[in-house]
Order: sequence, then structure tokens, then C-alpha cells
Amino acid sequence: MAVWLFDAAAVVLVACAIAAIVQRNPLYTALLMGVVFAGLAIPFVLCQAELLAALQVIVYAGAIVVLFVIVITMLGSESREALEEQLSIRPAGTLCALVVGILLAALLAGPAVWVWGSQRAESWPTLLSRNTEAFSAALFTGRYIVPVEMASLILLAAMVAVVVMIVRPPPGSNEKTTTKQ
Amino acid sequence: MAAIPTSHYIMLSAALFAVGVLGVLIRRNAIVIFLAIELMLNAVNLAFVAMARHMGPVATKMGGATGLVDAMQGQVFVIFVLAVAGAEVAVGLAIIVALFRHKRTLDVDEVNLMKW
Repeated sequence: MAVWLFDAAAVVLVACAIAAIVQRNPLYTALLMGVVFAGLAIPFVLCQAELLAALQVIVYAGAIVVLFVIVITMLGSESREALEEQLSIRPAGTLCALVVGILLAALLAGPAVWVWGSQRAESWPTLLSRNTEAFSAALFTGRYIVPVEMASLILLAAMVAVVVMIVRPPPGSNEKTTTKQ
Repeated sequence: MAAIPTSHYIMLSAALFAVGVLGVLIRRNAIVIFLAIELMLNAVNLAFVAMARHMGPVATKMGGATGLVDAMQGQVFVIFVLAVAGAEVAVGLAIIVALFRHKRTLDVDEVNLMKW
């Protein structure tokens, strides 16, 4: 079962990615990319990286794509580029998202024995907790403890950089006093 | 039960990476270019995870032998790519918004002040 699941997911993912690139409306690009990012969880689970599949959906499809959509809708209303509605993409896009959702559900709805046979007959929560245990052992008790701390510093630096670049003084205040900070 | 050969995962990763490169090269909208870059990052994540599975059985618990830890190295790397990609998206979108505030356009062909 795993083979046809992977083949179907691969075809749909590449088709969605190509469709996302050729879209004229950047909002549709972002949404189709969200489908691709969420659909990438299927090969991750098939590679026995269950925690990474969950994190992929949470971080990429759930946070990064949302950030893109926020920025697109924030800038799109002021942009001079014409955003024509392409009504023909809606059925195809909905179909792609439904197919990815169905494949992901087909992968995770049944017990793991349907996917891998009797070799790994545990349930999905057991596999996920095992993968998480191995992750925590590798990250926090191995040689990766320093990169973990450095990653948190990178995120802090990114937050500070975003605030410095984006925050403007309110329109009524004096420009001189605010730039002297 | 036939396992999926690692080359299939690598081919999918290569196809997605190629689509990402195509997107960076042929689009002019800065946000779409950035989305294509994120697609490239995801393709590389898939390659990491596939090769991590190829290196050996995935560890269920950290053992004393180095072999078990090596199988998790690809997945650990993907975690770091995820964290850094999150930071990169935040900073990149902030740059795009700041650029838009200045130039009032998202077209990268218009950002040519340093062209000789």
C-alpha cells in the first residue's frame, strides 16, 4: 500500500508545485504551496520520520504559509499589479487540496500495519512517541546541544531584526526624537 | 511488503527542487520568488529524511552504538533547517515589506538602483 500512496502523493505534489509557480495571483501561489508543504508530510511518514511530518505541517503549512498569506493580502491591496481572478483554478486547487488531505488521512487513519505490513505493527501514537524519544535523545544529550542553543539565538536575532525593520513611529510623533533612540 | 526505494524519494526531491529553481528564475513577484525558495528548502528536507532512512534503521531509542545515532542525523538536520527557515521567512518578508514601503512595487525588475 505504501508504494501507490507514495506514487499518488508524488504526482499530486509535483503537479501542485508546478501549478503554484505558473499562477498569476500570488495568493493562489501561496495556498497551493501550502498544499505542497502539507503534502510533504506523507513521504516523511513513509520514511519513518513521524515527528518531522507533524512539525512540517505545523511549522511550514501552519505558520510560514500563513505569514506569506498575511503579507500578500497586506501588500496586494496597495500594489499596482493587477490581480485578476482566475476562476478556473478554484476547482483544480480544491481538488488538489482534497487529494492531499485524503492521502494523508489514508496514511494515518488505519493502523501502521496497513502501510508496512507486520514488520512494524505498532500504532501511530506509539511510533510518534518513539521517534520523539529518539529525537530528544539525539538533540539534547548528544553533540547537537550547542546547535540547538545557537538555533534559539538565530530566532532571537530574527525577531529583533524584523521589529527593527518594520516598526515605524506613529504618524503624529516627532521624527527627531524617535530616531535618537 | 515492498519498501519504497530511496531513489524514488531522491527523484521526488529533485523534481520539487527543479520546480523551485524554475519559480525563482521565471517569476518577477518578490513574494512568489521567496515561496519558490521555500519549496527548494522543503525538497532538500525530503532528501535529508530519505537518506537518513537509507543509512540504516531509524533509532527508536538512543543506544550506545554510533550506528543508531547516525540514522537520526538526517532528521536532526531537518529540524535545524526548519528552525532556520522559520527565521529566514520572517526576516525575508520583513525585507520585502520594507522594500515595498519604499518602492511601492513587488516587481524585482524595478529594484535596479545599483545597476550600472
